[in-house]
Amino acid sequence: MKKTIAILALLALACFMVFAGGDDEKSSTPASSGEKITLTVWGSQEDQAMLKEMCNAYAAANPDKSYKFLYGVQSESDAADKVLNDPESGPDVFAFASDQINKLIQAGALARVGGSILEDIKASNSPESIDAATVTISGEERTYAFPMTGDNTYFLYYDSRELSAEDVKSLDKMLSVAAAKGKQIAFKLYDDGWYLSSFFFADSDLYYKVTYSDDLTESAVSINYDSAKGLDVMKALRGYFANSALSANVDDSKIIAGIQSGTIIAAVSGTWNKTAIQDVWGDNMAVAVLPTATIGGKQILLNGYFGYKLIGVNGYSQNKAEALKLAQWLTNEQNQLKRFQVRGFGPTNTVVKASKEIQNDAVISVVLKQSEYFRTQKGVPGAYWTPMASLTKQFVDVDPMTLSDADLQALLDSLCAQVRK
Amino acid sequence: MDKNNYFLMNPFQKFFYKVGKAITGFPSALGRFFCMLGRGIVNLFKGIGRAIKDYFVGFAKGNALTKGSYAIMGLGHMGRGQAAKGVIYLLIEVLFVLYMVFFGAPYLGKFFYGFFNKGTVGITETADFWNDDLGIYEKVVGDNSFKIILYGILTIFMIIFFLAIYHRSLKESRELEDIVKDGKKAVSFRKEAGELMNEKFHIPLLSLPMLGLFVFTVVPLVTMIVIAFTNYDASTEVPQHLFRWVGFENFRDIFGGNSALSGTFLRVLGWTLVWAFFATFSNYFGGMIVALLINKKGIKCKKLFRTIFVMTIAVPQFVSLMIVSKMLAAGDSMEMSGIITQILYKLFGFQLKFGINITHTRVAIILVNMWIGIPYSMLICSGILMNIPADLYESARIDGAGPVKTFVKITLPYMLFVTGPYLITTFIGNINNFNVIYLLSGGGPGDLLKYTSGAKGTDLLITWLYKLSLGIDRNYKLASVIGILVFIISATFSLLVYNKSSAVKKEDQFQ
Repeated sequence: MKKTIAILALLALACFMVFAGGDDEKSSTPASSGEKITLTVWGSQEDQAMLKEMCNAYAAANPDKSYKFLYGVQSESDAADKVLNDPESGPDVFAFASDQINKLIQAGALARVGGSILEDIKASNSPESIDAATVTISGEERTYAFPMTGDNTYFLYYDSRELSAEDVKSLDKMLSVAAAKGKQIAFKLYDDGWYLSSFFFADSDLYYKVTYSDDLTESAVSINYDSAKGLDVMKALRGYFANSALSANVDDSKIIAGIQSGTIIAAVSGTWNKTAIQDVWGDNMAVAVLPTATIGGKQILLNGYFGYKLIGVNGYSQNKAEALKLAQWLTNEQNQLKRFQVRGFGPTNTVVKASKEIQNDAVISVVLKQSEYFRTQKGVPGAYWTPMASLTKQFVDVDPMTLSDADLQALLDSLCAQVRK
Repeated sequence: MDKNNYFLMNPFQKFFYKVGKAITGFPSALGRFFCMLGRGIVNLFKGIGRAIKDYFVGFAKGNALTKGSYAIMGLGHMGRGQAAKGVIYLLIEVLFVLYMVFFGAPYLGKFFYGFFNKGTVGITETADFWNDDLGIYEKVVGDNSFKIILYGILTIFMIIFFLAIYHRSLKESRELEDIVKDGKKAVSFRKEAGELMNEKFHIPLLSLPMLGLFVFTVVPLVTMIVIAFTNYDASTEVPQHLFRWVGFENFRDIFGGNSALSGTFLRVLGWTLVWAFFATFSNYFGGMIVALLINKKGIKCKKLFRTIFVMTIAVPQFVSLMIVSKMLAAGDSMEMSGIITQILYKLFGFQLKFGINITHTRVAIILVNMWIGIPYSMLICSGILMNIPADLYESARIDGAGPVKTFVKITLPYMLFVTGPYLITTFIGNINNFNVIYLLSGGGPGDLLKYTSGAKGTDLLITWLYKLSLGIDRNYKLASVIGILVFIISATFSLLVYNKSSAVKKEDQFQ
């Protein structure tokens, strides 16, 4: 009797394990007309309410079909990672940052856009934003996503009571004003390749270049940061890190804390911090393009990355035609304007960009001004970010002035050796 | 050195002598281990050889029924009064053939398709085509290399299982032939089934756990090991692409083929071992000392002290470690730094560069880990300490032994005896201690001149593996190689030490 019970218990356990493992495969029946069309849409936490409104408006605009939307909360920066975990069971429509596009295409997680839809988005969005959603495969330009916003970049916030519009044109001037007042300028040049690249991009002779094979793997990568000009940049950085008025070891929370406590009077950051900074500085918050810095004895305007947020349709979506139409809707003129009004995001739609409302917005107009000369964040070598983040580590670990030019050159050599292919 | 010299040594010399012996004994222990492994493999092949011999000899000797059961399993049983068993064998054969034809063979074929010429795993690639009616690009999904590997391995196991059953059925058939020849009667099915509930009760009892172990552990494990021999990463993500067999290329890269990578691997491995050593022994002795202190006669509020220590266990590490990492943080100025960093600076003028300087970060992590780990070992130690017979201490005191002597001669040997296996599991656990490192430092700070491939100064192999497999590069192949190496290190180490530990050697002497 006991033995029978033992076996039954084991059987129950095994059944439990099998069911707990459960399979979560989605039904693969395509939607026919009249049937309910189910689309899973991912957006960031802050966008959820707006996203629901937009989707409901889409359903209302297409009364001949019935839609059911499932919403997932996923920030644009993580979306690509999450989709890549299992593209086949991913969402139908999702937003992501433009620099992730290659990996997503490689994984087949993006549906290619073509025909009348492509013509429509090409006609209505800025060419740079279309370019961010396009890759060249076998000598053919292929577009894989819909431009949604264009403001993923950094610029200068400053307190107009402490600094004048003239001061913020040059980093040296800003630092000297701040030093005289015992205040600081925040610029995350430590442990972050994204911001740090602005110094290397300032000199147009410095570059990296990736050659892709047809399946978008990097077949060759060249980089010349280890040249004499690169060393000039490192020397300039060494000087700036030695300046106690520059706060390089910061993150968003430290910047906001510094602004609140009054130690930071200017910060290089992006649109995501606008509300938090405005809460402290109020009407005294002013914005400007990145300043100039002294590199190799010359004043050079800092340049930077310009990224877009795109909406993509999953390549494995069961309702691809419907999902593409929804993505087109979510990025059309009306919804880009709405996104600006509700969340303050910069548009890519040319009509919205030219509108009065946008032109009068100080932050977005600075962003759009920078979009004209910043580098589109695209085609960055995969191995670039980690070594780039470590490049200035020693400037904080030891007194930067104790590092010789040869030390700096060794760092650049190591960086390039790791990035090159 | 003979025994007499050993007794003449002072305690320190004795200790170093023992440590030296353990180290010099290591190669021979390792040698013995591999000899044992080798013998096991040889025996396996010998067994297979015998089975093959039996197979042919049995066929030549057997009568028509036995010969027939070579093709139709269970024929011999059915013809000799074991109909039910014969039907079961036949059913197994039919099921296996159906499985192979409709599922196993196609996957197995694709599994071996490029196996010997470093070709692709699978044949058809996924392709996009333009659908003019809908005005969209559609996708024809091709072979999924990963599924081919998974199901290929499953099929290989199925074949092995089937061969084992096949072998058994033939053996039984031959034995039945002899029984019938002797004029005896075959054992009835009812009786054999009854045996399963009595003499052979372990078979029904263990078959389900074994099945679970096989499905949930063995098959995934072998699959991950096999991935190390492919080029599976972000650029060959399935099912969009097919990945290729690459043989030992990934292992070659890590062992010197790619000097930057192998240098990084050795550095990460070195720190992993250093960390595991310090994390294990600092917690172990720290916990023992705290337990001894609290257990001491005359200490009041013992329960209160224990509760205070156990509080760190009650708070989830995700919360406590995140807060501690903020408390240790180093900013550009002292105002921007964490509270502990500020206190250290104000009291001692010491500038803690947590997350900036690799050595500072490493030491800080080991210290923080003591704070988390000591309560656990304290709990274990207090239980064991209370179990040590008090008369031992009493007689030691009468003999004039001081506190240090009683600790070294009574407490420590007793503790080591009981907790030896625990120490090994803790050491292995610390090699794979993801939480503390990832939550405290995230592996940082980096060092451009020493590390590549995403590894940083305080990364353990396990956190590096995490970054490799879940980072944007999805470097599954390299992660798989590192996983195998971690497994080999942990397995070898624990087998060696466990077999040498007194808990195993003197198992019968436990008091």
